[in-house]
Amino acid sequence: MHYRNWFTDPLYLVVLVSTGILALMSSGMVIAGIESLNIYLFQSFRGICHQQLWRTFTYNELYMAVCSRCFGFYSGLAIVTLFIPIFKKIFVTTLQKSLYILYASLSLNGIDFLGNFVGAWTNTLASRFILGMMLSGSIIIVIFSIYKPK
Amino acid sequence: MEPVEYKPSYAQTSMTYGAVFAVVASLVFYGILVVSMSSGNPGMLGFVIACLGCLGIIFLPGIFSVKSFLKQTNGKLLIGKGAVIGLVSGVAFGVVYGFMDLVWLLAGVDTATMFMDYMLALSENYGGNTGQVDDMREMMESQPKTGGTILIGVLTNVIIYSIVNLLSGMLAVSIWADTSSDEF
Repeated sequence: MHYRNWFTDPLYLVVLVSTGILALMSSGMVIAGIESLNIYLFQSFRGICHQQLWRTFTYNELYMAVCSRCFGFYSGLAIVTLFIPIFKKIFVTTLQKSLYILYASLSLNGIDFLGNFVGAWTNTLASRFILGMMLSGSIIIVIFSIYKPK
Repeated sequence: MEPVEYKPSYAQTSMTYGAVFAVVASLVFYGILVVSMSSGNPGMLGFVIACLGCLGIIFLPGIFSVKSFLKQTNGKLLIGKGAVIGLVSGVAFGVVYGFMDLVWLLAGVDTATMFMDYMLALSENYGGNTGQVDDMREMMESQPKTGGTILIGVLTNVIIYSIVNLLSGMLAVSIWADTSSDEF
């Protein structure tokens, strides 16, 4: 009953589908196999991602449209949205608690970036992907912290 | 004569915020790149500041549009309405941000070429693979510039920024709005 409420809620479905589309677009559509759109999406994400190719995942020898951290961010939007019904069933999230999670994720990403920038450590494609996913996941948790499906 | 019921409207405000922030984002990002390139030795810090500035700005149209609309509704707003407000501001942002590339071109700056030149310079300075950047540049230059390709470019811009601001609009409602009323 609980999950059926979510998956028949129009707003939840709109967010789920649109974040899924955004995640696919951030990969340059290479995961979806539409490689002809890759160069258009690379140009569309110019300016909101540094797109440094040595910090970007490849798939079938094609570069994604965004770096690994940004791909983690956009993927996280879709994946956490998909699992938010389970998350809300297990954890009681007030807006205040959700905001603390968001601040913590922002801080972690900031520390990771600064540490790598000053040479204290070297992050990897995987670590940046996971941290990006944590940040977007916390944003989804804040958005749905007060929302109940109709 | 019957009194006219006042219904607050979000469309104009959303589109205005979207357009203004698009202009600001384009000026911030490409402005910093132009200054950095003209220094003769473009560095990573300038590039990072430009990207963070632009990245920070793309979420703002949805947030500011919702906050502005909340003043008209005494702080009451449903999260679905916030999503629509954000979506509209994102569409305006995507269209104007794409149009700004044309404005830069009229000012003598080819933004696509400049961006690739910057990436090549960073690759050379920081030990990245310049061959990868050259491959990407070749792909871009081989792309025909027709009405169809320009339309696809604008469409992808609009889709990306409208979804981003749909979410930022919902975020603004979650944080600042009273969602208990069905009125708005």
